[in-house]
Amino acid sequence: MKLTPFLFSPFHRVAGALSLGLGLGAIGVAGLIGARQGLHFDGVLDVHVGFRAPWWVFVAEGLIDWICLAVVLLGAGRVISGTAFRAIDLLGTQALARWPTVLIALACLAPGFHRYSAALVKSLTGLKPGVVPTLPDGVDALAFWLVTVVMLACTVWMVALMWKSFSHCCNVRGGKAVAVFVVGLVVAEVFSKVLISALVRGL
Amino acid sequence: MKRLPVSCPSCERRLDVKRLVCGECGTEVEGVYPLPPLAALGLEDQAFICDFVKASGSLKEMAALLKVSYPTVRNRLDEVIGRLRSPETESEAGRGEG
Repeated sequence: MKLTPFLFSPFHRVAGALSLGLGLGAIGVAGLIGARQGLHFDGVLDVHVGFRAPWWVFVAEGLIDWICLAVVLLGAGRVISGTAFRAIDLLGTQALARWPTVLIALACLAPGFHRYSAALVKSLTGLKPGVVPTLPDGVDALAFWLVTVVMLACTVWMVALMWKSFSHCCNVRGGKAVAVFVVGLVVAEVFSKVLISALVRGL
Repeated sequence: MKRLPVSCPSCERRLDVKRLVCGECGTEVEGVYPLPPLAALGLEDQAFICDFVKASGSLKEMAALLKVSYPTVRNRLDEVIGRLRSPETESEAGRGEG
């Protein structure tokens, strides 16, 4: 299998129940790895280091992210698509589109990343006007910036996969489809934030 | 394998059939007959339609046969439907029925 289609067009070959199974598995794995280090996927496109919580909270966050975008795009697809597409294909491929979150969670396990994050937050929290914050340098700083680059790249890749899923499953393309996707992404981001906030408040 | 030309190499308009011949006795029939819509499709589209009919119109079975996902087959079918619905093909079909 060629690398580019595998990375950016996997839905040419994989969709339906298989993609749903693989995608839910990936969301679960990303959640469990995140639970080990307090890494929250607390929004469709968000990842933050935060408070410790039971493992199921991290998995639930990933599931909320997935279902919010999948349902919003399902509704949008029914409106703008001229073809009779299956809901299972969109739900499944949207789940599989989140598999780069596994790589993000793994990258954050890098030694020094959490130490540098904590130092960064601490220095910014107690920042006084006119004072330049001092941060640890060396291996921790390198790890932090490398992980940040990986996180950004994986997030861009994930959005590309989400778009491919929407475009391929609903058979839509062009400026109108892109605009609907972007609006859908923003709406789903808001929904997921609201639902995850409710989940966290209920703990 | 010789390919049936469907478009005029000069003006690209859909070609008509002028002469038909019996391969057995050599009898020839001459006239102007429009190509049926399916025959006017490209070879790949025709092969796809043949496979689709053989699969009893099951997109799921087609996906397994072609080793691609269901939406990929659905989109391919939409492309063929689009070509069959194109004004040129529809006008040829209309002429054929008349």
